[in-house]
Amino acid sequence: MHRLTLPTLTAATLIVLLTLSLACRASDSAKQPSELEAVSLKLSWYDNVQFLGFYVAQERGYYAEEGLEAEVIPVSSSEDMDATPGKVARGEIDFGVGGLAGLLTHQSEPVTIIAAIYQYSPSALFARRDSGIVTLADLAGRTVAVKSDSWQTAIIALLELHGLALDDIEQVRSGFDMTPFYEGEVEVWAGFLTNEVVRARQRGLDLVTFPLYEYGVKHGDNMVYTGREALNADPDRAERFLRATLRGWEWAAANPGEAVDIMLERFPEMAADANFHLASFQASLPLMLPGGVRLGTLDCTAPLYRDDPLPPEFCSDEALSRAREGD
Amino acid sequence: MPRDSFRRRQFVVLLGLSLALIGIMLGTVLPVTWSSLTRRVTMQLEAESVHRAAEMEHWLEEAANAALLIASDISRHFGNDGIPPTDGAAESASQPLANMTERLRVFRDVLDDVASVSLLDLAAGRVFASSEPTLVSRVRENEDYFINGQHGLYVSPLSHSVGAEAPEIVVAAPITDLEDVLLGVVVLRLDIDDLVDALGHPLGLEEDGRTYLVDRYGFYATMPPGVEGTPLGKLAESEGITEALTGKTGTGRYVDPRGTSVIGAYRWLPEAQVGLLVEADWSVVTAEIQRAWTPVIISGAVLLVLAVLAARYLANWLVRPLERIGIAARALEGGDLARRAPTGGPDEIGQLADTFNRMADSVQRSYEDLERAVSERTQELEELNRQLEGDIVIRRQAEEALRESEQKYRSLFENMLNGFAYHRMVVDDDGRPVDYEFLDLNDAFEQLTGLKRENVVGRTVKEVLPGIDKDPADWIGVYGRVALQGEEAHFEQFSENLQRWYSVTAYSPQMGYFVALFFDVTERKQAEETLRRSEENLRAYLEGAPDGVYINDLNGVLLYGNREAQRITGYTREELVGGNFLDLGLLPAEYIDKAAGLLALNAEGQPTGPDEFELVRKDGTHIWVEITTMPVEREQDTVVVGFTRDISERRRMEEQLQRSQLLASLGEMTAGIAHEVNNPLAAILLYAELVNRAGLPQQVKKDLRVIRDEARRASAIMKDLLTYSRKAEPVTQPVDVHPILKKVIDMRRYQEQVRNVEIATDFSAGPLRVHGNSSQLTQLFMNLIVNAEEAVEQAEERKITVTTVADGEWARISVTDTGAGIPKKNLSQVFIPFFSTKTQGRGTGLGLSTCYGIATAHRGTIRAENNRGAGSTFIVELPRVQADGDQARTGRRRGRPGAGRRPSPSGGGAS
Repeated sequence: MHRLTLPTLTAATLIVLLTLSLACRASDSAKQPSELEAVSLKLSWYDNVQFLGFYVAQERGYYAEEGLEAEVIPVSSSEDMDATPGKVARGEIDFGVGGLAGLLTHQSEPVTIIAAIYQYSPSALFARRDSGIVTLADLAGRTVAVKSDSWQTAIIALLELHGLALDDIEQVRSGFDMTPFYEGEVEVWAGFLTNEVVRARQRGLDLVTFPLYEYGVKHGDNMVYTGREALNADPDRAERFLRATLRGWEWAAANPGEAVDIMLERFPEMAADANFHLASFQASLPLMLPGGVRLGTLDCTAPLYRDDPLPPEFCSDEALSRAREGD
Repeated sequence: MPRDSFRRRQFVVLLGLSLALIGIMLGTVLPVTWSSLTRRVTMQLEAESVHRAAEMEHWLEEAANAALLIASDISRHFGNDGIPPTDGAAESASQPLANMTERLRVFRDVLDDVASVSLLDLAAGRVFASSEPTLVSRVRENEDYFINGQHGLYVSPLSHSVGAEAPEIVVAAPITDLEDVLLGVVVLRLDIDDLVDALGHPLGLEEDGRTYLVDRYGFYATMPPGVEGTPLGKLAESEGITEALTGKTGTGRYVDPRGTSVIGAYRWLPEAQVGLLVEADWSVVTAEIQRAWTPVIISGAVLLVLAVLAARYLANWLVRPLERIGIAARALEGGDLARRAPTGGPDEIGQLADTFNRMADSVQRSYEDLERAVSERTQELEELNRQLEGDIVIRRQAEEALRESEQKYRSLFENMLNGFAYHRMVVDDDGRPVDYEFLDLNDAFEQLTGLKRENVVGRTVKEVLPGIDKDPADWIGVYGRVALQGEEAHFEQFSENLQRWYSVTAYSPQMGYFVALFFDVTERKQAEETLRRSEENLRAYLEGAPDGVYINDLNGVLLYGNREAQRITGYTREELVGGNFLDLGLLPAEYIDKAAGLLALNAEGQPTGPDEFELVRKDGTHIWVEITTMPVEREQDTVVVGFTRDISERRRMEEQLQRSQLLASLGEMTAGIAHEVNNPLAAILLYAELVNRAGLPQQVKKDLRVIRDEARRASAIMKDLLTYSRKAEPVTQPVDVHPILKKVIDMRRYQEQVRNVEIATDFSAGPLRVHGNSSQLTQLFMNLIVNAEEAVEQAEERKITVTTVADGEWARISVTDTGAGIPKKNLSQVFIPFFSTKTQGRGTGLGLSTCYGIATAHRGTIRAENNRGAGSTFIVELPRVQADGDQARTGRRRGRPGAGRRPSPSGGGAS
């Protein structure tokens, strides 16, 4: 497999820079021509394979080829995470990526979703197969871990679809540590198919899973969004950013092993858990690329948990369509 | 002098002659075994790959047919009533739905390899009934199989669905009512693990071969048999997989994902979107080649010995007759096996010529024997190839038969799925089943069993088939448990009456009643039997091959390795085949280029070898092998067949020889240096003394003393060097080594007490007399004991054992220590002057080389070995003086001590 080497990358970057500089010189001699346009991307979580395509696009120089110098910033705390949509809206940060549930709690912020990396939600409830839980109805009377309000929203939605209410289950407040589940104190865990489910399966547990997607939750997830004002002012930047981003994700999907290696090289402390990261990425592939759907596809008309679609100004696939035009 | 050189010349000529003979043998036998083995293994793997792909296709076809049949059965079941309404709510599990679930479960159980059977409603794309309760009410509206299954039969590619642990293949078919109005979709989820169990090990190999599937992303779809774990997060990377994933089909030798060199056949199955890999460990090939070569190697060795003996004998004769014989020998070498030396002349020369001719006869005979053996072997291989081709024909016929059977099976199902009979159990007063009554049956049942509805319905089985209660199959008992205890029964049964095989599934829809479903599986059974026999032939063929062979592609990827290759390398076949020998860890880094070079020659169509390689076995031990390779062109590519032979023992001897040559030449050089340096040293010493007179400043005097001391030290080193290199024999007389040893040990006693070293002796009884020079022997033993003291200095146990043994003509003195031992790479170098692992400045660095000098000057030997436990042993062997007279000469004539009875390296060197 042909791999871009550093010299090739450098050469490619130089050529792009040269072309750009010539173009800029021709149009606007006052501008500093040789510099890439700096853009920042704020993640919604700590670094992990949920953001693999961004790292790939960065490390393989796709952003540079679009004249961008992208900075990828992980979150530092849950407050930091909550503050992201506001910062994006104000233009302090150029792009954000995150779960739809989290974004919906910030609907008042003027941001616009421009692409969906996952076509389906990675959220799921799951239990051990030997727990006797076979259908969602069996959740009645069981202990269910609830990590946060947004998880509670998801769980309510799931239960309601099956004639149950939140009172029918026994809620247990939990953190991210899965020990209570492993030790049987909590029978049902709520987590991501790409994370907790993989962890539990790698421990050899046989699970029955209830993905939100399989119970009628139709929206995508892992959304890329940007400030509404910035999008209107410079739609070209969003288009270039998306084009490079999708190239990164597509390359990662075509080369899962190498893509995960790129991440592990960048974050050496993750290497000890390499097998988990690979399995996690494997589990995210059906979310990213269900048969016949193009990566990044954004369906702004898809209903939320029940029937309401997203507010129209909150979602726009225009930049995505333009980013794909050249393909 | 002339006698010596003549001896050497003759020896060389004869050695060359015998090597040439071996070369001729190799050249004749090699291509035969080579090409046939290549052909065989590649053919087998390709055949396996085609066969497995066909099997998989067949498997999918079977599942697709089953889906159609179930769809038609369910369509009829619902009739015009349509699918019962569901909103996904659990309580809507009405009675018809429960019945449907039960029916789907029966389908799942009847159909092997089907993990679940589900029905999707049209409106919501939701599972409304399934053999697996956990799937009920899940949404499937976006799934390919739901969308495509509405329009007709659809087989999905292998893919991971959201939340699934392992990739799946799904078959879907539309359900319609009697007026062809679409009602929903039936979905069969296939059990890939079952498929792979069915694919199993290729070539009848156990651990050495495997078949597995890789999904389009390069993850394992199924784990190869024998590989631990589930496919979750297991990326499969190898050259074969890369090729398969880029849509290519072929064979090659490469390193498989486990790092084992394998020979593999890979292909991309576009419909299923899956890479199919059939691999055999490279060791399978090498083991084959090894076996093929054993007889050849033995014959070669015999010839070599013959030639050496002849050389020694002939060496005592004159030049001319030998030259004539030499001419004959060269002719022989050139392949003229009928050529003989002229006889006549002096008696001895005549005898010599006769001897040579006899040898030539024997060589010719051996060669002819070999040729015969080769042609027999060739015939045998060709016969086996014919058998193999026959086997493939039989397989094809068997597959054809399977396909035909399946078509019949399908047409039977067009009306009803299978033979169907509904019964009521008849029980006695104790509730035990004693008979059963036929309530209903279908056309298929009539056709399958030959029993007619009008003769059967309303009658009991005892009436219909008298004597059935005595049938060893215990039909009534088995069905009794089904009807009364609700067990499901699934079995295959041969009917003696009808001479047919049936697959029977029985379940109880209601207490006291049971349904029996019959499939006629006679054709399948027969086909299976034929397939099984053909597999067995293939297996016996490979397993029974007596030779060791390996095959690789032009990239070095091992495609095949036989059992002997496995033995040589210590790798299992699984580990070898699929691996590239260039990066398998089998070749030490310094041999990679050489091996790659040979591979490049192979790529140009040239055979190579024999070349010597040092291999690293799996357990880390090293083994010397001689490898001969030959490229063999196939239709689409070229592979290389290699033959490997173990030459470790020969290498060891050669190394020993080289080492003693090195030590001898070093001796000559150091003698020269010592003589040259001694004079200037003496001058330095003298002038340092001369200058050092009274009246000089104190500092100058001190400096002069340093010059003098250092010059003395240099002089001591020179003296030791001279001892090491001394060529002349020392003045010797018969001396007993025991008093010398005791004296040395006494001299070291104080030092040993200080250093807390225990010294033990184990002397042979009585005096052990050798021809020796007391003072040199004292120095020899002193050096060895001091060396041992230093070796144990850092050890926990500090013990030195001095052992003497009278062994025939030799006196053996061993000094064993309990130190850290000598690193293996240093063992052969410890006697080289200035080779020292000690701190610089301590000792002259000549202690052990002095020992070597003294031992050889005494016509003895010295060697170092590592003990099995800890520490090392230095062994000195000196010619022994027996009863009286000059026995040492006898020893000399017999060659070097220890020859032929040297402790083997693995046998624990410490004696």
